[in-house]
Amino acid sequence: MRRIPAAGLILRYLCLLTALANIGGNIGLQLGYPLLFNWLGVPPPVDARLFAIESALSFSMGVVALLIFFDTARAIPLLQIGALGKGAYAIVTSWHWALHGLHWFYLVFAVWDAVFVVIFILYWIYLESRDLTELQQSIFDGIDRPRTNRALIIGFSLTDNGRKVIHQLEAGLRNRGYQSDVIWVVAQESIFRFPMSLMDFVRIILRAFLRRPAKIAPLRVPRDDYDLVVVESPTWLLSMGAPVEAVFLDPANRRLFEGRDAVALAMSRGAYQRTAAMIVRWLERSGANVVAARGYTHVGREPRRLMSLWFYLIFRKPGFPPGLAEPHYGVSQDTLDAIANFGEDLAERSRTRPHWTLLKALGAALAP
Amino acid sequence: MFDLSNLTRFLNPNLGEILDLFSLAPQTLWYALAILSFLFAVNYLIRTALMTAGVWSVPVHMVVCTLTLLPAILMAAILVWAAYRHPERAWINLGLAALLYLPWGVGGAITRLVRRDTEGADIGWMTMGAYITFPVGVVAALIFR
Repeated sequence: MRRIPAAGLILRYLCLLTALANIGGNIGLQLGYPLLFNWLGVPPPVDARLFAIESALSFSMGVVALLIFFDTARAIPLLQIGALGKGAYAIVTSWHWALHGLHWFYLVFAVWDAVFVVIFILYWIYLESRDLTELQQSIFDGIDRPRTNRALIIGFSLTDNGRKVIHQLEAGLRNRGYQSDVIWVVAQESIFRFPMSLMDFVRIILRAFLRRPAKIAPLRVPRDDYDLVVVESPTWLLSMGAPVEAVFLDPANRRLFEGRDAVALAMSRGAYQRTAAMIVRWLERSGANVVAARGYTHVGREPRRLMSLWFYLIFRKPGFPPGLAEPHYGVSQDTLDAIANFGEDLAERSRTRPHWTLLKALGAALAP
Repeated sequence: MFDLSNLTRFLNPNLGEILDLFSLAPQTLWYALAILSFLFAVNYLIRTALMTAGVWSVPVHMVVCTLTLLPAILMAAILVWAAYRHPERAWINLGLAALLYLPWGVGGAITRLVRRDTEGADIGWMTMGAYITFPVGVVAALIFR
């Protein structure tokens, strides 16, 4: 779960390496390519002007890499441009080497650029939504105000997997003195039910692909004094379930999140990353103070785990067909125990202290 | 049966070369495999990068979903085209397609070198991809033999 700290440093300095290589190399090439080409036996460029233009473009790519090195906070668009530019150069150059007899000397640059396409995208992955990694491995400070020790848990569960998770979380919170109200999102469209027909399944998948919102019944929340709100969502086609997203789409529900500590819980067969990101961003947009995010996956190993999900949706019973499906559907007992522990930790989360907030802001500003 | 043999005459010569290359012809096979390996690995890297990006955007979500199976679909199309152009190699191409699942998975696996909260290579979805690639490839091999 932890982000590898050295990785950021290595990737950043690799950007400096290609910056120096592109900037210095192209200046050197334009100054002395006849000597170098003669030494290596490379035929002179067919068109010296086009060769100079190509060098200038490569030089500018070095400047892009240098900007990435100096300003990592705004590096992602530059990394995207860099990956695109280097990728196009690598493909076109290797193409002419493979099919049109271009000298191997140019292939060296193509391979270099292909490697840096991978490095740039890895750095993009490293930098993208950095807060989500932290939210998934720790519990941030809560809002500094008296606790009511009441939690609102909003969830949606088609196959009861989410229901088990929420009950475990509720138990963990209760162990540390929290009382919870669990509110289940009720979809007003008949396709969002289990068991479902094949046609309903296809419709759910298509709607998830197009991110079409769902119609839900208004949430009936009994109180207004919660200091913690938990939102749980299943993952449908790599994103949060439409009925849960509908909660956030209704402006009337903003009051449930605004000014409260909040937690995102993403349930998934295996890929919860996008669901967790979506819940966290919705909570933030709704004015909540997100203190943690967790993603939980089904028991088992791939590809059997995904097959088990399909089999469960089709045959509606776990472990069938025997041998092909996992004997147990959904999260493991170990995971359920971990969720209960998480609930206990959540109940005991610390409050924001003004001097600590200042230190955190200072740390963030100075981070590489 | 449509005659596609002169199709490349009507295209930019470079596009014709692309079609030739992705017919997995023996003379350019290694280069075709290298470029497909690169594209498949990059496909997974971009998908992972987009996983936590653009959470409000429908197009970004559609791109993420498409990239999940794109190499498998692309490979199925290539197997059909290659079987049409070089029927004698259709069965060998199925093995080469299986080989190309390796760089696809590596593209996902290496994301965990920089960030452990990624899913790595999602063998589940890649297996779904195999259910697309190989039946199509086998049918193409049987049709064009």
